Amino acid sequence: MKGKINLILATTCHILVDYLCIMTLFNLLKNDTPNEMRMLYNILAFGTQAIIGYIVDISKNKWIGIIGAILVSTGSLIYTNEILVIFIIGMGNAMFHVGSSLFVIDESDGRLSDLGIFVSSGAIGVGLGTISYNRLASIVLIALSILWGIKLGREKGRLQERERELDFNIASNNHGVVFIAFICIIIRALGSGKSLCTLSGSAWIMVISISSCVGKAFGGILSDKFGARLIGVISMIVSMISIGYSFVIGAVGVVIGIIAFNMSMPITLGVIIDELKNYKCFGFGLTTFGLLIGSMITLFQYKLSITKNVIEMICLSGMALVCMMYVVKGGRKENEI
Amino acid sequence: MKYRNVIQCDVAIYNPVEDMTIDYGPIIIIGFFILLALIIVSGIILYKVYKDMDKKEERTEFVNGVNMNNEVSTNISMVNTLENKNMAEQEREKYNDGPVVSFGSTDNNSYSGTTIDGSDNQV
Repeated sequence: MKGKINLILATTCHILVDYLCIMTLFNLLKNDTPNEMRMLYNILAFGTQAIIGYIVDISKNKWIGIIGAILVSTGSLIYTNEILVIFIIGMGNAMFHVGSSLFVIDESDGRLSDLGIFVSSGAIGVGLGTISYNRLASIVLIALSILWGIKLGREKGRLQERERELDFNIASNNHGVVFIAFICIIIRALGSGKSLCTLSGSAWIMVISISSCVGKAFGGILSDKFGARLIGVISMIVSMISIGYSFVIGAVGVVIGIIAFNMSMPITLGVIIDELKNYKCFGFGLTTFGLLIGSMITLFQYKLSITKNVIEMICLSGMALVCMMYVVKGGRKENEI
Repeated sequence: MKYRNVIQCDVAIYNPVEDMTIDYGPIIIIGFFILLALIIVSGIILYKVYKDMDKKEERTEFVNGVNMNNEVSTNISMVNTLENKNMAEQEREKYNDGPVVSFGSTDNNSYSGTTIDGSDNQV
């Protein structure tokens, strides 16, 4: 438990950071604000993480995450200039994600469950930020950041001691593993924006967010237990079947499909970090960059019916399955056997 | 315009299913150029990362190589020393006189300049 304090703090802050960013974005921009502002936010928050990650990998600066969280809190309290606010929360979000990933990955000891738990919490923040509004979260985030800062201050010099080469032992020996994993992330992002049933509203948004969160978290936990390749392949097959059957079993099929579809997320993240070894924060940034590219492509997609969306989603799951089989070798469990 | 959260990636995204009126204005185009620039920068960083990793691997191999060479040279010098001792003993037996100095080896690491009885008479 003692060794997991950074993970608990990072996960809690992750919910608050994503909540504040989306909440600010929705309330600041209202309904008449141009589309481009959201694009600017996405580019700042998700496109710059690879670059910031590389800087963190080189400098080993442990304060980046806390600075990011404080920037997001500050940005959510300012309502003067749209572009300024978007710049602050966008950069704050990017810095927080990369900075906190440094601790989460370092303390994971090669376990995918830690990565899954950390990344999963963001979905809850996004879901809550879409449907609710509470500026008190900014104060809570500042308080948590100060607490985290005090804790890190006491751990002077521990970062270098802890610095070691992690071995997730899941990346296959094939050529271009990072590239194919990156493509897999883009494919997943393409599928993530699709409406798969007629349901809508706040409750449905929260159902999607919770399903996504559960999928990511359990993807990591089950991969540690049964092997990353096995879970990656099974999850994609389950996703294809359940989404395909959603016409018969309704929203339940969609929920199961979303859970299974998201289970591969910590696996692809683990593969990239495993491949890039000492450049883990850069690897983390690359995954979010893949999500951004996928989401940008969806801007140019034509309106499709739910039936066509479901068919497209099944095809995307199939493509992701092929990518997973290429990039993931047996997880640690399989190797032990 | 309506926006919704994305299933998995925490990216605030425009949902084309809900509204077809997508504005492909100049800022969107600029956005794609920024994206392109980010792709190039990330690609360069990835290239640098791989290059750095290759360098580290090479360095490790080099260090291992040096260690091996050292081991080999130590073994050679030990063999030389033993050979020199044997030769010196043979010479002493042959001429049956005092300490004999061996000139058998040119290896700096060997003890060819030391007398066999252990005294420090260097040549």
